[in-house]
Amino acid sequence: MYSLYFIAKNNLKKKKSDAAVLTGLIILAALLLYIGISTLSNMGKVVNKAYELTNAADWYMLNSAVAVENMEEIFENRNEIESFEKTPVYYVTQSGFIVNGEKSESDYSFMLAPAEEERNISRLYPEYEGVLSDDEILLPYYMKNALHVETGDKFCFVMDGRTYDFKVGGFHEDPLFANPMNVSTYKCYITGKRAEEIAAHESGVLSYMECKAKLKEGTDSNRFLMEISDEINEKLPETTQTFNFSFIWTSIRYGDTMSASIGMGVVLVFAVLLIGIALIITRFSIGNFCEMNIKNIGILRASGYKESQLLGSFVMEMFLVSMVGSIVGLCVSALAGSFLGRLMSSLVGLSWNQGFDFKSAAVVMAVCILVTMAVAWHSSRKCVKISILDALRSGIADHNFHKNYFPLEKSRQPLVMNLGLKSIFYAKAKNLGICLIVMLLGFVCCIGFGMYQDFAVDTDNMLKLVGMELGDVFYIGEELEEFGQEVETNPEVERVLYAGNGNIKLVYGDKEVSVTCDFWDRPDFLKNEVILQGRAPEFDNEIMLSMVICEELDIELGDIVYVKGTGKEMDYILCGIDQKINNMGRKALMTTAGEERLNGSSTCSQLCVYGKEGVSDEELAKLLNDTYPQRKAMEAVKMSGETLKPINLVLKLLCAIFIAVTAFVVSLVVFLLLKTKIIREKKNYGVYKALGFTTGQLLMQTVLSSLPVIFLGALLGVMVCDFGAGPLVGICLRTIGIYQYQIKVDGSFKIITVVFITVTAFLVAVLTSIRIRKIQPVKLLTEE
Amino acid sequence: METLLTAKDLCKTFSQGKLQQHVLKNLNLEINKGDFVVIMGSSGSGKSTLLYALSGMDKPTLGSVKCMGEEITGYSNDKLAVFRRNHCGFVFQQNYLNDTMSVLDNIMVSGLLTDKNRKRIAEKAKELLSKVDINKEAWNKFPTQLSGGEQQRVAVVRGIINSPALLFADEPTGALNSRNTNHVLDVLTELNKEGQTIVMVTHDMRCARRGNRVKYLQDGVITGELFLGAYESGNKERHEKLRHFLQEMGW
Repeated sequence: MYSLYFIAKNNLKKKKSDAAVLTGLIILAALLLYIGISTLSNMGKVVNKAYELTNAADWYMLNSAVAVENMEEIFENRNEIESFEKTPVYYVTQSGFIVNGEKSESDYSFMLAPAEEERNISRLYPEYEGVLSDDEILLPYYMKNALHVETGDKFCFVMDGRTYDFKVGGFHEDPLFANPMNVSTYKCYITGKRAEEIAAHESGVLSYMECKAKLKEGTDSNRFLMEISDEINEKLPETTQTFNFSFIWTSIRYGDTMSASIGMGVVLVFAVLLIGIALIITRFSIGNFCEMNIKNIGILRASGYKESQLLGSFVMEMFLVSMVGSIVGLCVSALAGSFLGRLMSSLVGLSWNQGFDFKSAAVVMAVCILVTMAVAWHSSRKCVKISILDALRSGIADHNFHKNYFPLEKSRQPLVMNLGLKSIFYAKAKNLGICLIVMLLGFVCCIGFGMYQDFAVDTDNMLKLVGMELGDVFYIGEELEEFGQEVETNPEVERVLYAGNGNIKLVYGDKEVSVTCDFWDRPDFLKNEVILQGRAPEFDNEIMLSMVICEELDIELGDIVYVKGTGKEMDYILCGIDQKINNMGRKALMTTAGEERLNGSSTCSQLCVYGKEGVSDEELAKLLNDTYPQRKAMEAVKMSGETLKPINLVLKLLCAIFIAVTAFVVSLVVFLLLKTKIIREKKNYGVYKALGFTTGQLLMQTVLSSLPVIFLGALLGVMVCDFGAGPLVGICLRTIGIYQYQIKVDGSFKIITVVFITVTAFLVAVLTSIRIRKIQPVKLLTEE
Repeated sequence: METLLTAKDLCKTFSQGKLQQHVLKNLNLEINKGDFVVIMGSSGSGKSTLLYALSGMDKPTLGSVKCMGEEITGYSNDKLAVFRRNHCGFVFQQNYLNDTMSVLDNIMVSGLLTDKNRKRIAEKAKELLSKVDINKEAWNKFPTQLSGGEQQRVAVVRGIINSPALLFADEPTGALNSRNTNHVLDVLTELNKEGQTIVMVTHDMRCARRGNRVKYLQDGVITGELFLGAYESGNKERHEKLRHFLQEMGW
């Protein structure tokens, strides 16, 4: 074993730069792999811990205080209930908020919970030490990391021009309202006195009630949600008349971690990509080494070393490199633990209470080491199988006389470019590999840019993807029908749509599911509806379901589905299938007439107003607020921007990672390639200098021997992105209910990708090639 | 006689820490147009160092080298490169041909530095290759597909493709067998007869007798010079004269 270690150590000494590059890549891969694996495996623990500490509700409903007055009666008779609790809360339909007097003001909906209220279910955590004073507010933990709010900061609500100032007293963690991706509202704690004071002044602050239930162990919460929704609809029909929402913990738990899981999933994929690149380099490195040291291999074989021993030395070499790389990568991960914690906290919205994960570290180490060793074994098999005599003759039997590419006599391009191109074509296989690596990086970089553009920059596109229909401005509240008719008379208003929602039960064959159904007066006018098959409902006996539900029920277009609302069970024709992200893609849609047929009456809890062309959302909101000061018009983009913040953050982060890693890998590849070339062809450079080539000419020739490959790779990556990105992103989005989505990568981003990769490669190539300056022909010639 | 190159008080010292090695010591030398100067000397006498200092490949520590009216000692590396491509040709002990290029490309890569006309350079290269008995079939082959002698003759063609005023040869036959040595020497002799000035470093008597002047270098100083006149094949007297000179020099 020591002899193998001895040979491996000496081999590594001979190819320090290769070893350094491979170690660098493995460090990076191990770091990203650890981040991906440890966060994905610990995310559940973090959320579960918060669930336990807060004794979070298994079933939750927010509804008007009046509507749920008799809710206890329903829960008294249910066997699955362990405990039930109602606590008052003030629902702020929309409020601006300012942190530390910053100029920009964001709009969002809030829940103001009286802090002193006793709670057994979904209690305040961590408990506030002392008594919360009237000017203090406890904000959700999400705001601390994602919005960089600190304890002691000034926090101010702005409602209809009136401001309500608070000092941030701390942050609370609530897994039910961890981040705005789940429920589009920030839950805050203030004193009851202050909450009442705000509610007294503001019409948009509604007196609501949180209804929370803990279920007995073993209860099927999906079934419970379905049954309890039926019962509430039947016994308390007034609960459907106001803005409300209800959910179960199992759905929320998934939603808490969704954006972070997507982000970390992509990091994991990128880590795997890096390992792939490291393996390609390993293969090249071993191949090059064998080529350069074939005589030494022959000598070792002649002196009695067996094939398996030489093979073992190569494997040992890669074992040492991958072991050092993965250990350093894991040490960096451990050092970056607090940063990672803050990052995860800002994505999930809960404190990341996980230390260094030794299990994940072991998995990372095993993956890095075993995969690298396997590739080393595979790559060196051919090399050690060469016969002793052939090896001692520098492998003459295998010598391949290449074609003379770009003969100088017939070529038209400048001499240095011609020589560069000769180098490229002389090592076709190697350059093809490099081209593939860069193509892959260009492809991933382009997808990153495309996702950023589609999801983070283009809010409209994101709303369409999510299926959030808010109009240009919208109202939430009661008695909106008459108000809507009045709003529609404004010349700046194009149209007004009326919406409500409620829980329904769908029965098809022996399968049944409970879903949230949106009711629209004119569904065919919806802007953000993506219909995959069929059309939007027109008649009162038609229903549209999301693909997730259709797959669950195994139902097809034209089938009859039985729907149970607050009235008796009715039959509906499935006229269309759409896609949604919200509610985990579990949604239904029918007309208001269809709702009346189902429930005997219709509800309107949301009014969407669409402005005429040329009227901006801001202008429309201002106009409506000035004309109807008694109601607050909310700007859809502002509101959704806040909801989409976590996904925005994830995408920005991913883009940054893609760009940084692409730059790193391109730099490494170019550095490795050119350094090897310069070392290997040092003699040729010396001769060229002696013949009269200037350093500048040789430098340019060297740069041109790699740059076209990198440029071509980047260009191909960008081109492949056009037809490859859609299916790839599509597969990822399918898991969250999106079946039809075409990623758009702006032309400017494609150009940026190619320019970025090429310029990075050019700079590194020039810096690496500068060493040509030091080559002195005399020294090389006299060394012989 | 037109003087092509003049070296005056040439010194070259190599330093390693406190240790200094004076390889060339106040050396003076003149090379005239049409000369075939052979520099001989024992191993470590400074032959190659002198050759590289004269050709602008290396910078002397002290003294000056004037070539074609240009004082080259103060030139930058890039200026020296341009000087070399315009006025000097080189043949080394190893042929140093680029294995990844065809024979013709190996020559053209040097020729295109001074003349951008590819057709003209290609024609010239082919003409010179034919002249040194490298047949047409070999032009597009790779150097590794040729014999050692053929490779060295290709290297000679590469050295003269730019019609240099001076051709510097550093032990050009050092790595060749007897038959190939004669072949390469015949080529050099023929070139000299056509007017090519050659400066050759060697420690082989067979090579030395091809020159018209032989300078003997010992410990960095030229200790003797022999005028042999134009080379004639089979001239035994010339051989004896050289042998006697070298004996006198303690070779």
